[in-house]
Amino acid sequence: MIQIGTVIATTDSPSLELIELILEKENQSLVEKGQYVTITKNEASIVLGIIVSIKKYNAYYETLDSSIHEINSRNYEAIFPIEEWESTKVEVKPLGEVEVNSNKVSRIKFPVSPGSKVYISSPSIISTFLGLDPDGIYLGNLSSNNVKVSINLSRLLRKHLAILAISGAGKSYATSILLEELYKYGKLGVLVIDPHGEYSSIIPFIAPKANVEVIKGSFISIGVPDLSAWEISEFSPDISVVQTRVLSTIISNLKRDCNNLYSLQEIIQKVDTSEVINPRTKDALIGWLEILRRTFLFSAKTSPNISELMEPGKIVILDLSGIQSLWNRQIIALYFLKRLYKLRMQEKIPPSLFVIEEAHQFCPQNGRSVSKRIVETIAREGRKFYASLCLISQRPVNMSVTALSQCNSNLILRIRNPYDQDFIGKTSEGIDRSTLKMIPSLEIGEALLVGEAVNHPIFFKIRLRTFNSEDTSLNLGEISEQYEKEWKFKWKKE
Amino acid sequence: MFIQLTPQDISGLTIGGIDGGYTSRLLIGFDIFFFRAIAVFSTYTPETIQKTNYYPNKTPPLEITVADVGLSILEFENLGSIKRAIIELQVATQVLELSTKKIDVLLLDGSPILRRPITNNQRIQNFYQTYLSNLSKLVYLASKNRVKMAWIVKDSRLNLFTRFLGKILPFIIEFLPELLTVDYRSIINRSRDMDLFYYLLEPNVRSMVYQRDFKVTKEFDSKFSLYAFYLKTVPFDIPLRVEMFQSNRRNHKNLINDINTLSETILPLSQYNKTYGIPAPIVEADARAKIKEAEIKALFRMIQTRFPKPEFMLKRRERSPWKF
Repeated sequence: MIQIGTVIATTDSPSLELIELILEKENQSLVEKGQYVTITKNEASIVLGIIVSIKKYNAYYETLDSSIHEINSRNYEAIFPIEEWESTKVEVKPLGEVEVNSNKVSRIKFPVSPGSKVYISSPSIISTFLGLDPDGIYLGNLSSNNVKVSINLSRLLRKHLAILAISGAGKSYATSILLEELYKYGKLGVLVIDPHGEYSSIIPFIAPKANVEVIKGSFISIGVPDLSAWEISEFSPDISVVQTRVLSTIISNLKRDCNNLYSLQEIIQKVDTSEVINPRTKDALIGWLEILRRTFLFSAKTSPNISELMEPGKIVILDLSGIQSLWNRQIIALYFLKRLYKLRMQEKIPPSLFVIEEAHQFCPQNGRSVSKRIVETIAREGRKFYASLCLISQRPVNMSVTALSQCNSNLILRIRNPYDQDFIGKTSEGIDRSTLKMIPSLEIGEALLVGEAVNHPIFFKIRLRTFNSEDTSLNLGEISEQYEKEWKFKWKKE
Repeated sequence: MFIQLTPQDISGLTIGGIDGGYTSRLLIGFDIFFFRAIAVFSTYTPETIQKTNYYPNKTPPLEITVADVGLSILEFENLGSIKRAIIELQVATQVLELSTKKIDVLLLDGSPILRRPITNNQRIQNFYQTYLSNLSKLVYLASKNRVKMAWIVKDSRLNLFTRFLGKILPFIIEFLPELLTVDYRSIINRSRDMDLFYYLLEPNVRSMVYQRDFKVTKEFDSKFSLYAFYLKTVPFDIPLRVEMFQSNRRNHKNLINDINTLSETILPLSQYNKTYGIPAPIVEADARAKIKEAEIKALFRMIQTRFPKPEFMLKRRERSPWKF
């Protein structure tokens, strides 16, 4: 192990919360924020800590005046041996104690001594300490220390995962890595609700065609005969209980008369021609049903067949990019999630992961959303039935607290908004103030994993995808140029 | 009377600074001194410092001396300052003897003039003799090695020039009518040289040189004399008092040349701030030689753990359990 410094005695250090050390000059280049270090406590045990702050000090620059050298032609640095006075103080947050012989990890009950030597931690100690699983899914590498971040699948997903980051910080990339690993694992069924159609172009590279099914939103239809009156009222929450009861009677009659082949148009006609329904109820119900009909999501048959959709190792993508209306997207999400969750409860589909992109649209904290209840239900109860959620969002503050707080593991990429940071701090278990402070400074592709999946929060770099996917997205200039060319061509033609 | 100077290009030169520090503690059984002296020497390039070396090292250990029992406070302080001066001279001599690199200029903190202690204490007298012999050894060595050596007095309290003015002004006052409007006598009586030269000198200007009266040994005094002058380095700081030994064999022109060259070397090293202008090697040596309170505390903790006897305890006034 490489020695990097010595623990010093200050008013706050060494304590159970903070260890301060002075870096050795020759090994300064090996040290960085977020790095794991080992401090010798005694012959039997070591303390593992993470570097949370690095401060440089130089007495020659202690006052503002000292940098004024306008009288002399020589620079300040050309007169004084300034470099000789530079010292580097590092603050380390102690994470826990490891018994050298047994590798047993425990919390620190007594601080290390001033004068203790500090080393860069070895990968094996870090893996043991953080609870990494060499056979787990490989998401990336620790930002320092050269350790593979392989996470136990069950610990990562069983109690749900949230991926949170600002736009462009690498959420979709991180998700594609997760999907790549899940495909390799091959035993889970995966459904991706993809409002922007980002994954439909990536996923076919991850897995062979047979294991991927991309379903375009425009090809999705919800078979009305598969729906009860209560389910229809879930799509349109303004339908009252009385109206739902009336609807239920109409549907029973249609099932009997039409041999299970009818759509919303038939229901509307039946309501309209019924003489037993109160005219006011009739008008209102027809109005709600007409609004539902105009979504063009409903027909006499469900497509695709949901009961045959999920298979072990298969990735299904609902590409909703062609659907403009948020309500329509929510209806689709509700229908698929509800059906699949029920099938999973009946063990008719394999253990499943439901990946929801832009989760704040489907499960918002405020405002109406028809899909909110099913997402919250899976978040609360899915663990028991091996149905897991992966909620992805760029605005965690707008997401349902119920759903987010049930995500016991959080993969956080760069987040700048202070409200979002604050919200993450409140909803994520195991994230303390010093860790929270590091989130805005994360680089693109750098992530923080906290919660159930690991013993301690870890900062790591998301690994590269194993397949080559060229970035086909154009910049603003390129897209404007392309549009202009096409527009000129059309104009000439006309 | 005043000489305009031009700061010299110091690139290629190796310039050293020497300083020492001391502090004392009164114990129940005896009193002790802690000393430290260091030499810092840097080689300059046109743009930066090529290398800085420290002697004996960057953080020299503390040297501890036990004072005699029964010394008066004045004797105790005499002993401390003489011993510190001896250690500084020893470090300077060792640097000149051991350095493999040619040292061009050596600057020492303070004045070489140490007044003979008025005491019958033989140990203090012996220390004083040691100081004089070390001083003469160093000056000989510097002369032999062609090292320009000077002592830099940061805060001079001398009033040689003001006394001189006081003597001659009555004879020339009739030619200076503006002085008749003020009570110049009381101003001169209350002023030190430094006060006057702050106003009289401009940056990059030195005062006239005057010879100082200081006896080392007969043989030494026949060969060397001590000269002093004031040098203003920056606009808003008091001038430096610079003292240097020069061979009596040198003629006046060479002597003045040497003084001017040394001054022009000191100037670029001192002009880094408009309000503070002492040479950088002295700043660095002073910072390194400083004995920190924390060091003394740590040392005392160690002494008291190893020798848990009352004689090693600090006096009560220094170990009160309360921090009022």
